[in-house]
Amino acid sequence: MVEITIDGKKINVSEDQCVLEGALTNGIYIPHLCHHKDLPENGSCRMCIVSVDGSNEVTPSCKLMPKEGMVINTKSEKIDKLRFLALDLLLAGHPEDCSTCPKYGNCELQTLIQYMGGASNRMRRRSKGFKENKENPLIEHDMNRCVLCGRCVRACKNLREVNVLDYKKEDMETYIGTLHDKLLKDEGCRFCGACAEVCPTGTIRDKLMIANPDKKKEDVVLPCKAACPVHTDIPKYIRFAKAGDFDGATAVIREKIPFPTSLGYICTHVCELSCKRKELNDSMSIRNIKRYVSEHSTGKYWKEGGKQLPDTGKKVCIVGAGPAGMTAALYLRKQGHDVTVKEALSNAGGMLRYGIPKYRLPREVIDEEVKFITDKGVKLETGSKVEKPIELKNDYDAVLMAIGTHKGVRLPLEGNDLKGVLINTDFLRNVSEGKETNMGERVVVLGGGNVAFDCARSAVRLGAKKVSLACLEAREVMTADDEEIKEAQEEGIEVFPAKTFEKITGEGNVTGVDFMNVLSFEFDENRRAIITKEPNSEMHIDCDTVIFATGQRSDISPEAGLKIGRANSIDTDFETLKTSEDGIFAAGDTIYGTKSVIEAVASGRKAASLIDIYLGGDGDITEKLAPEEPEITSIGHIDGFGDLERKEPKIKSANERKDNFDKFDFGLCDSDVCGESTRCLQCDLRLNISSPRLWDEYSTKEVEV
Amino acid sequence: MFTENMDTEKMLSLIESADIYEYGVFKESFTAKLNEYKNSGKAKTIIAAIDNVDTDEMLLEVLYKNSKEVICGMKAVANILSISEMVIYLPEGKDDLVKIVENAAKELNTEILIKTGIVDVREYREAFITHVETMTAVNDVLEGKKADKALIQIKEVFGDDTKLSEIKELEYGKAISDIFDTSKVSIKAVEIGYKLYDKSILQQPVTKETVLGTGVITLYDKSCCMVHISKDLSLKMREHSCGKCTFCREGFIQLDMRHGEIVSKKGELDSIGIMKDIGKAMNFSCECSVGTYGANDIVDILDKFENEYISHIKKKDCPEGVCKAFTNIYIDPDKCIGCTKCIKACPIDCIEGKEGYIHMIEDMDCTKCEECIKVCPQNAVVITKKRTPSIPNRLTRVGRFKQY
Ligand SMILES: Cc1cc2nc3c(=O)[nH]c(=O)nc-3n(C[C@H](O)[C@H](O)[C@H](O)COP(=O)(O)OP(=O)(O)OC[C@H]3O[C@@H](n4cnc5c(N)ncnc54)[C@H](O)[C@@H]3O)c2cc1C
Ligand code: SF4
Ligand code: SF4
Ligand code: SF4
Ligand code: SF4
Ligand code: SF4
Ligand code: SF4
Repeated sequence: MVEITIDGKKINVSEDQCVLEGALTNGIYIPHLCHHKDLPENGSCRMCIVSVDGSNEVTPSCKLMPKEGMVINTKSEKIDKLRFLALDLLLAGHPEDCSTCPKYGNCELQTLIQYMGGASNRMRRRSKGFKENKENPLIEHDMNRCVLCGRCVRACKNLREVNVLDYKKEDMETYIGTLHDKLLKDEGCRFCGACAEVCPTGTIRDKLMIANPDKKKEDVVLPCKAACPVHTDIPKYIRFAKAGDFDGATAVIREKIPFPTSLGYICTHVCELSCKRKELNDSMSIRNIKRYVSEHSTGKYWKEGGKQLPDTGKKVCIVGAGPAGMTAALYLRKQGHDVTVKEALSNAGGMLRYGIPKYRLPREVIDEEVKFITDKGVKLETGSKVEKPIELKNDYDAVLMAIGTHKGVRLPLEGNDLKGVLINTDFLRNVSEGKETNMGERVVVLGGGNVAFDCARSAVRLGAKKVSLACLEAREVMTADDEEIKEAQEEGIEVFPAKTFEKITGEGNVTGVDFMNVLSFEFDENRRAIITKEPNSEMHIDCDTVIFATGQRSDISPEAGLKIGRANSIDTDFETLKTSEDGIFAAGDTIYGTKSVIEAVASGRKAASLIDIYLGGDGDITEKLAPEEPEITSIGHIDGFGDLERKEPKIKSANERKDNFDKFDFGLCDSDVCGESTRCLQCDLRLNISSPRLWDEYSTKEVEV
Repeated sequence: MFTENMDTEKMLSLIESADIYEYGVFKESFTAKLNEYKNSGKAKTIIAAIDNVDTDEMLLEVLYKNSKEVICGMKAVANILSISEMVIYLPEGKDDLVKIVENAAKELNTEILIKTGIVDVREYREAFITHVETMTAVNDVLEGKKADKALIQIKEVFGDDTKLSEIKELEYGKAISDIFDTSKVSIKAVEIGYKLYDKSILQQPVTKETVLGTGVITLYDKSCCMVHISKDLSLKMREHSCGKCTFCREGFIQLDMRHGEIVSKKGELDSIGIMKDIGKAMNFSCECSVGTYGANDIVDILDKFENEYISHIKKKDCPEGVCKAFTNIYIDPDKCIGCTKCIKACPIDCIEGKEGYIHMIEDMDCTKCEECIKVCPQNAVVITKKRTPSIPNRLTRVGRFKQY
């Protein structure tokens, strides 16, 4: 550190940083444009000129290294004059009107102009006449607004070492372009967004930022993490995966999720739906990477250790051993509480075990992940159905209801109580437990969601001769994944979208179902379904078994003593997770209806934190398991990066899989996991780039009008 | 060539006692520069090139003739500074020279990176950048020869013509007029190293401290329009600038645009002051010699020949008659025989006429390319700074036009 004086003010600055950065760090603003903290100096804009030790000479402060006792002036008649000249020259080729610029109100150049009190009109102005380039994914260029500060080039070259951008010159006009004037994708761009991040003007722009002006920057820049209900640090674990450190990768996931392998098999992967990579070709195979790393982790970093606060002496009872309940149990235990989980069924896991069929999620996976939680000291009582939760308050300081939605909905339909009519939840539970299902040979499943397909595909595996599935929704809006529908059809299941269920035929036993075609299907403002049927479109399917897969609700009645809300949910405040009864909280499907395992985990985490606070803790359930990553700035050039194809999992053929409950999806193979991980844009790295501080954020601001 | 096994102390002391100066625009003691880099120890690369600003490229002669000497000089400096990377920058499009340098490097078993274009001073912030001519001087000194001369060429510029002399070696202590006959030109100004002098400079002895710049000494004849010269210089540098520095890029654009206005009769008086401001500021506001030296001669012209600017702007007159916008063109109705040759020659079709009729030039559109003058068998097309006499205003048969 050395002491220097700037405009009469003594400050201490580091000898390794230029005077400009030293001043900025100390809250003294010196106008600048091409300087950026994270980039090598360019010395081109000459806005940051100062004079030293009373000399009349000016020198750019970005290239001036501080020395003990240096006396610096940032203002003088000469400096002001030159600075104005610099600004005037800078703007000679820049559009005069800001109001149509996407960067308006958010632009470093614009505030610099404001700081300077506007530009003069003594320069000959010209319009550069470049065409806006919106052909690239994620990033757009409008070289008419470029002031050639060169930040983008330095970001791409020096910071990221990708080397895609450079100064180019055509018809005596300099511009920033790709090395060979090709599209970014064809030049090996890694779409890291560093160029857009550092650009002080509206020239290089992030399309998503422009499209989402109201969202938080972090959520737009890193959408996968924002979309994940528990905000897993996805790019971080993908980097570990790429380096072959599957323990490190799993530890990152384990910081948020106690069911990484299960989720690796069956997560609804909302992260992938918003992954930025899909703008280039296909989204990252995030779920399969998760599955791979957690299946290949030895437990280093996360199995031992982790957080464990000393015992508090407080007792918590959790009702329901599904993902919501078990997650809350684990984190409450880590906060030092004495946790007991009461589960009605004979085993823990909730819908992971009693809903999702074995062929999609092998049971050993659940066993292992549940065991980790009980090993941490959570007490599990199975076969223990809680009828009167209020009474638990006598023995426990807090209670969490995480009872899921275990009661299938039987639609009010003629014939709905005939022999041969089954309900999704019961059917799947029986299948999972290896019990008699009472299914016949020809099965019709009513419903078009993933649960319906689980029913239909389980029926095929149980040996049904013919399985059909019908639903109200048109094919494009069916809620089941496309993948799921495709695989079901491969297994011989006939799918009938856009059908109304008229009645179940038969006397005593089911003989079939009558349908009609749906012309349109909408919801009115009161969320009531409005269905228009196509006249004379009656259709009948013969069958001996009908399975209702038209939703499921919580298996609870007002007798339990808690207020019941919409669709038989436990009435709960979504912010506090409190039920109508003090000390009794609720989380997971039972408060919002069947969603997903990861939502249940998120809800369980939230419950743990809130209950911890209720019991006197600080509610901070975060923990650090993964090793620190070194700071990453360089990512290097990869030829054809934008075209790297998504690696698909290995899947058994329909014939091999349709007569058994064995797993059929083997995930990514060893040779693919690194390649798939390489595809990630590492969107998070952009958030490490220093954001510009605009002049009005400095203490020494002076309004010059 | 000097022996590679010479130890660096010996080399340094030989260079020191010869007291070489850098060639080109950056005149400084080479010994001092070398010691400075030796003490800081930061340089990892040595770069030899002609000056970025040098568009004459005469000094490439050094590489054409003495590539090996240049490389040996670089190796010596590299040894002294413990540098491993050696780079030679060549102007764009010199494929033959690339071959020559490559071969020389191969023969000397030396790895040299050849880059083209102007030296990227930003990429090579810490490199030891030197002139190719200086490197031959270093080599000479290490070989026991003297480094006491510079390459010189004379460029004579007339109203619309230039002439280049042969390249000669000038021994320090002698004057330019000692080796070149400069008496034939009636000199208006002399330019050496981007500065303007009067002709007495030619008689003064040149020393190793003299800034010779590109080595090309430009003599501007009395017939030159200095505004026009300045316009050409601005355009050349506008094209040459790499565009990274605001002052160099935008400065030359402004100089070019303003000069363009002045030579096309649209000049404004305040341009003179603004151009001086810009040109003077460029000198200390750019990162390489293109910006720092490239406008110096333009500023000198603005200062020394302000009266010519004022003529153009205020009197609407180009005193030397070079700027075409200030001249009038017409076809003398008494001389024209109506042969239509000029119509066919005019590239922009601004001549009206037909066989046997007196031809007329639409002088609003005429670019004064003078193609018609070249083809007219009667010398009937006239370019003049005077006013156009009365000429037909509609098609008139040859011989029928009467002047009143
Ligand atoms: C067939 C099917 C397939 C699905 N597929 C997927 C999928 O592929 N991916 C995905 O992300 N999500 C899927 N889901 C949804 C997901 O399984 C649930 O959203 C998630 O399991 C909800 O977790 P939970 O802990 O809230 O409830 P649950 O998992 O339902 O757990 C509740 C637990 O509470 C127990 N319980 C209930 N009442 C009592 C009581 N009174 N006393 C004691 N214990 C009680 C239940 O037995 C159960 O074990 C699927 C759901 C179903 C039904
Ligand atoms: S880049 Fe900034 S200064 Fe330029 S038009 Fe856009 S908002 Fe205005
Ligand atoms: S690699 Fe990154 S910095 Fe370079 S052009 Fe692509 S997005 Fe911009
Ligand atoms: S595109 Fe932006 S960052 Fe790049 S040179 Fe232009 S203004 Fe600077
Ligand atoms: S590319 Fe990587 S970091 Fe970016 S959204 Fe997709 S998974 Fe997340
Ligand atoms: S002075 Fe001109 S040529 Fe030199 S680096 Fe700057 S812009 Fe480029
Ligand atoms: S000077 Fe050129 S443009 Fe003008 S009339 Fe003659 S040929 Fe045509």
